[in-house]
Amino acid sequence: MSEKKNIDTFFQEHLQHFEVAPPEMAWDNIEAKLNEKKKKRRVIPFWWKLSGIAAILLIGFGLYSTYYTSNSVPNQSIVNQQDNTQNQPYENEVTPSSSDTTLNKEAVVQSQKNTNTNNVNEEITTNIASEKNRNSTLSNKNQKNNIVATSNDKKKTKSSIGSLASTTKELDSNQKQQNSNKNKLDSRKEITPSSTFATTVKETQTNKSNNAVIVVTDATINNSINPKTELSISENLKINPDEIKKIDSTKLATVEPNALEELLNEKEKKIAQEPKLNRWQVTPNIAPIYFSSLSNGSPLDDKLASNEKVYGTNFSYGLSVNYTLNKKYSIRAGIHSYSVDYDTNNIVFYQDTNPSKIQNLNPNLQGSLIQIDPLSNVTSSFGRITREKFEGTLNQKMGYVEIPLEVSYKLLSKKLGIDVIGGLSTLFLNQNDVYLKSTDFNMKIGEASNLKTVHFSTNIGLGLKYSFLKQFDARLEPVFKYQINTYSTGAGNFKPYIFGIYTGISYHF
Amino acid sequence: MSIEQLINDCKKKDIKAQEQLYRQYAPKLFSVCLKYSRNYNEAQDNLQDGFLLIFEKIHLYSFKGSFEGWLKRVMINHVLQQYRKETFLSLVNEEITEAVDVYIEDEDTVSLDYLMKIIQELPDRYRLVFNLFAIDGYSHQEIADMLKINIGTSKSNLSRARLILKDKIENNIGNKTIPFVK
Repeated sequence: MSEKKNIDTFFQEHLQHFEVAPPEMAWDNIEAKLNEKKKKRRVIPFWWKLSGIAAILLIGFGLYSTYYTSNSVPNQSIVNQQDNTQNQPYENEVTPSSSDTTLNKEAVVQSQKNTNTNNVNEEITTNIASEKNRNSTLSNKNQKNNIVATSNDKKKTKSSIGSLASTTKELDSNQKQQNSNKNKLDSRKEITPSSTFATTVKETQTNKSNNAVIVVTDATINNSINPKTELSISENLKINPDEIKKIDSTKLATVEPNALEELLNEKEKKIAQEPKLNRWQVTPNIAPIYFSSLSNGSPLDDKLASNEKVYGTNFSYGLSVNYTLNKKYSIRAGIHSYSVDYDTNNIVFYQDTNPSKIQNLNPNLQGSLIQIDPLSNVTSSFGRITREKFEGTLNQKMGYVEIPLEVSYKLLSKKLGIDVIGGLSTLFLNQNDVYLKSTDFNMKIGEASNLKTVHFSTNIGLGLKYSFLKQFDARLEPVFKYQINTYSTGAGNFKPYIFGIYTGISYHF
Repeated sequence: MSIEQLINDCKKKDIKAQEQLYRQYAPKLFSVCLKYSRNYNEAQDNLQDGFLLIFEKIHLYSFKGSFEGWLKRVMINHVLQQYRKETFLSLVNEEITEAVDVYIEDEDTVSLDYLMKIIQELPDRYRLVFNLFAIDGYSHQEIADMLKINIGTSKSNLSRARLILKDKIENNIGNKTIPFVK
């Protein structure tokens, strides 16, 4: 009833040309991802807004130094290489347009630029009159090359004058090519002003599949404008179609696999590179905070400066976000909350209806009725000896919301990584209390009047990380944060800093 | 709008142009995905990611050769990438068999859905090789390069794919005829 059929042909017939509409959802998903990408780009400026100027400068410097040193040099060498390989076909005079047969796209773009800028340079530096003379003496072979070559060059001219400077130095190495270029240039120069040239170039671009057409149109341009070479060109025309066919067939045979390989390579590279650079990282962290001062002053009152201070250990907790700029640098921001406190020991206090005020304290009602003195002063307060006095401790608490902006530089990034961290934090005051503590009570007596609501700290630290899972790192970051302009007035030689050991687990995505 | 214009707009990441391009070529490329993927859902995933790749790489298309061909190659390569990553884990019998040509009765009764289904059911490597060779006309050398296998493996995979498909088609026909007999 039915004949035997090769299974390949059977499937081919059925499946090669059919079409299936994908579900509508598919486009929605694609659109969402496309939008996501656009949004991602906007994220960086958003973070930058939160930053201090110093941090931006730091990043700028980092980017400048890494990009400037790493990018410029390798590019140069690639250009040179491609330029050299490009020259060889001309010297051999066998394949007039080698660039057509390779679809290595980037290479083509590069080499196109090079050949082109050679031409432009020539255009600038050569003497027209002498060229015309040379023109007439040039061999047929050279001109044959040119016709095919110009068809390529014309396509390229408009896109690429940018890399002109980089290739000028290559010129002297291409004597032969120069000769041929001069010839070609001469004709081109005369053509350029006429608007017909532009339109024919457009035509040739749309007809790329048909090389023959390109050559014909180019040749006609040459014919009409360069009458001297008319004869030789038309002779060449007879030869060219064969060559073009050759090119076409080789194109069919070689181009497609090349393109495929190229795409495959590219995809592989992408896959090889991207997982390494997980740009975003989120780290919830907690840190014991050691608060202290570089000097022994008192921000509350100068008379308390020599009293013993005992600094409490507190905790900071928060979330930081890390954005990897490149292999070495990343920028970090986040939000942390912490409070610090310290005790001023060895004070005496007693009730008094009109106490002498502590310099930088806004007392509440209770506080306004208490006289506080350092213990060492007691003997001098002779007249009040009848009153009952208590020994106690003054405790000052300050709470902050911290928004750090830091840059970290990788010293080591293996399984165990080491970073150097530097940056700036903006601190917003959210707690400000002064307590009076004694053996049997703890009473709030007011708040410090000289704490700024916003101040800064400069941060420097070391980051240690250990990646125990593909996407998770354990982090330990001892960071020293020196406070700047914490106090509006009368810091009393008190130079606070905090030292935190931030620990957390970070997640890459 | 001409296709060149559309492509240029896509190069500028114009979302409207991207949508139009998608609408125009998605049915063709989805059929490619269906053939090369394990099932409908994976085909859809591959289509989505493939299109994202196309939009990302469209600046590399320099108007040489057919645009549709280019799209198809990008898509095929993308899908290969998905399965090539995983195939080294799947146990495929690597014993080299001679290249066999397989003939079947030319049946019109076999539905397209069924053909698609049995292709999707093939082990990953068999499915990729069969699609590349039998349907899309790649040579064994090209397939070997693309999948990073050797030519012998490609030929062997093809033969095995053919035999499995033949078997399934014939069984299907057999099954179908039973109700008719009754």
